[in-house]
Amino acid sequence: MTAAAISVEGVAKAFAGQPALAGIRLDIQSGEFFSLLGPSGCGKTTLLRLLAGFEQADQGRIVIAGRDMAGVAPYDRPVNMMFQSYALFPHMTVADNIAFGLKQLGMGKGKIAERVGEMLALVRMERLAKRKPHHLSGGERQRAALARCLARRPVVVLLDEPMAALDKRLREQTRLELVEIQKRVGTTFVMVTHDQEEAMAVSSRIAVMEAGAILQVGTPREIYEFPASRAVARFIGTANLFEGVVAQSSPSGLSIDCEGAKLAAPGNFPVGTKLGVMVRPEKIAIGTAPLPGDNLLPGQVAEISYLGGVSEYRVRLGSGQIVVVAAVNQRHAVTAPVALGDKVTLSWHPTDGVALP
Amino acid sequence: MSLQRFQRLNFGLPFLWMALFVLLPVAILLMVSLSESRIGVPPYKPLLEWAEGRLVGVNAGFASYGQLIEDGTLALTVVESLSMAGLTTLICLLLGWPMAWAIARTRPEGRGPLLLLVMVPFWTSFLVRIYAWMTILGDDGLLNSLLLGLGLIETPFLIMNTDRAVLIGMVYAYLPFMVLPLYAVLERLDPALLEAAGDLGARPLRIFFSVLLPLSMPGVLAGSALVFMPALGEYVIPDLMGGGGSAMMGKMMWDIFAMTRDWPGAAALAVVLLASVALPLALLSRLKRRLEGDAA
Amino acid sequence: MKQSRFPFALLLFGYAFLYAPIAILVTYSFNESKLVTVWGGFSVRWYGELLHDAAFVDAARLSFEVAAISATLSLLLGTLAAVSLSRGQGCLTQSFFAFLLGVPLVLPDVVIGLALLLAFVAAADVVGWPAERGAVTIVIAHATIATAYVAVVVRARLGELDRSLEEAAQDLGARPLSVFLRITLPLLFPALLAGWLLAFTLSLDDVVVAQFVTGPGATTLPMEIFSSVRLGLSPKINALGTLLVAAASAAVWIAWRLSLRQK
Repeated sequence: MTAAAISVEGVAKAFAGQPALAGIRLDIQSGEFFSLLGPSGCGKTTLLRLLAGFEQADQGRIVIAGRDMAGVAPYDRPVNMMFQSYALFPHMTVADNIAFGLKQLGMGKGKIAERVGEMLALVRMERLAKRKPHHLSGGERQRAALARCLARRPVVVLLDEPMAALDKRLREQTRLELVEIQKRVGTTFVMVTHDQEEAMAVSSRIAVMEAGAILQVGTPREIYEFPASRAVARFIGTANLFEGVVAQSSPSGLSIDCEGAKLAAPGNFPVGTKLGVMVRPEKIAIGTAPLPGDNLLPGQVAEISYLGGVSEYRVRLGSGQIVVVAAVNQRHAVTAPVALGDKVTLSWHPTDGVALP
Repeated sequence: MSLQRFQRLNFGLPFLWMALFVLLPVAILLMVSLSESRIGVPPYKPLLEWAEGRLVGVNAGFASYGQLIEDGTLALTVVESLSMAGLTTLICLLLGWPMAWAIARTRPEGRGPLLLLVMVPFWTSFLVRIYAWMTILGDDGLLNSLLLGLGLIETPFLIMNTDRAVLIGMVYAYLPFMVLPLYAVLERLDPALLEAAGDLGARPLRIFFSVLLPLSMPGVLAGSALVFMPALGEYVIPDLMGGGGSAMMGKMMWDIFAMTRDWPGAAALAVVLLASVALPLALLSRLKRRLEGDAA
Repeated sequence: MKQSRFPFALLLFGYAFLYAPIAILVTYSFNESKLVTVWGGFSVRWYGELLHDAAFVDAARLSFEVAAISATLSLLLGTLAAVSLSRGQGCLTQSFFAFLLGVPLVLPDVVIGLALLLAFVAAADVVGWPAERGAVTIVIAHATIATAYVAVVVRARLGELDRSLEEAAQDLGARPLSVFLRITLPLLFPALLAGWLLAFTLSLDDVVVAQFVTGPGATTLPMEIFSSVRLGLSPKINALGTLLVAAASAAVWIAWRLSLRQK
């Protein structure tokens, strides 16, 4: 196991009596691309600002590169932050912006020029070195800000919603660049974002946050496929939840009674436990022919959204619950395999459900 | 230097300065207004009389205020100042609103120079501009020579040394202060609002009264405050253009101070002037809060 | 909606109203005649007489000195005040300070003038300073008033500034003083220039406060103009006014060009 770049130990922070963070514990390994994901107001930006040193924790300890950060000012921390607005100094050129942090280190002129050149090359901005931020496009500003962050060779780079200021197409492209640059320099990146797709695409691990607490930490796949709670399941992707009671529990899994239907899911809960079975839309098959067995739910197609590669079906069950089903449009055909109003049966593999108490 | 020490210096130096040269003088003004006039240096009795380290008498009272009320000076000067400042504000508003609107409706690249033209007089010597009006409005001034020469009038208009001259001077001096805040508000107004009102069947006059005027209210209030408050205490214009008859508070106060050398009396009038500025200001800030409350 | 012509007509009238006196002032400054209202042919003799009038020249020199010193002083005080107000936590002392800073903006000049005079007199009585009123007391009075204006201008600019710029500088290793000198101050520069010019103009234009707080021997240019105008119309004032208008117009025009280029 690699050394922890950042250890957050039981950190709490309140603003004017309003708790913003409570009992945060987190270990971020060196070289990770770690994301703090959550809706606005969940405390993710506060956590980032605590790491940067702009706020001080009320309780707990933050250790960066083995050093306790209590009382250490922002300018003495081995971290650099990329601000949401990029915060490029408008009265300095791109090169001067990048050199700013190096001058503070008391580096010689030659060495600074060399490092600035290196950074400009890293973000492919050599030709724009003499420009003022005002004359840069959004993407160029973002790259200049990143170069400025990396110039001091910090242990950790903090990124506050790095793509928020970009339009959608540029966002997808810069996402890939960001990952590539992170791999090349090997620095630990900690990113704050509210965009789950963005977090999933770039991160090695994600911490899902809500209301000042961390709900789950895991790889993107873990978080999507095995959410630890209903909140995580709902926040990440689309989740169908079927409420029921455990009827049988055996080593091979659970059998759950759900309004007459029998659902199978892996897990270990005592008989009689009330829980929900979470199934992702793409795990559910939609068919017109009735089938025997578990995990069968009859319903009627209430809505179809044709999205090109995929179609999304909204199926109304007998109970009135709407189930979202995503199916790849594999066949080259003019008409859909299932039409609006069709009576259909939904089914999924027993191991594709997740039992959530 | 540590952050705290840096910030304390930041705060302490200007705070000390303002306390010494704003707070203390206003406090002394209040004290002098309560003291008794006398002939001597300074021409007022100290409030507290000390003898052999003991307080032997307090000479504080409202005699100066009483005197102002008794001889009718107060009523005269307050009414005169309020009506002149009010009229000035009204005329500035009537003239300034259409001006600000016209500038705001010009092509964007034309607005800068037009605004600049409003501001240039503000940056030029106030006295010199008032002096220019004196050459125009005098009994044998340019306006009268022109009108007499054209045979339009037979005896010169008497404008100089009347309230009319003071009014012209004050409107002239304070018009830019009305135009600028109004422009700031009107410029930000979305033209689509007018089109929407027109589209919904409102006629131009109706659009003005039910859309434009209410939306420009913050500018109207700000501009009115910027005109009314200095106009209320104006001294130079009534002195130069109003002649001996002008009874505006600023001039009255200077006369009491410099001619009669009654410092407590002048101080008392200054306190009245201070109160008549503070009162509308307090009302205005409440009104502004209400307007902002509506917007939220 | 059809554009109404009425506002544009009033705009023209407004400009005529604002500029007619100035135009007449400039025209008659080149009048040969001693009578202000009678045209006696083109001449620059009043400019010559103005420049040889020692009272005016001395007053002008004093005014420029007072304006420059008080503007610089108020720039320093107003900037410090603005920075500390916009960076503070909004405690009671601070809101009181903000109130104090607002007082000179709303108080009529006559009230400020009298209050300051009474304070100077009382101070001379109690602590023996200022022993004599004059240029120094005028500078103090002007600096006090202008500090309030400078603080407004600088605070407005500080409010527009992205706070994350200063945080970014700290994050990149700059200490608070260095952040202030290398980031905050350069970004404030246009506002500082505007504030200084405003303070300078206010001082150069003030007659009321100066008249209260001055002492024997210190006569500023506005005071000189004021007393000479009170005595009667003089063509020399036309010449002086023309020079002042020309200087102010040039300054405004240059400032405007500079602000255009910055955009």
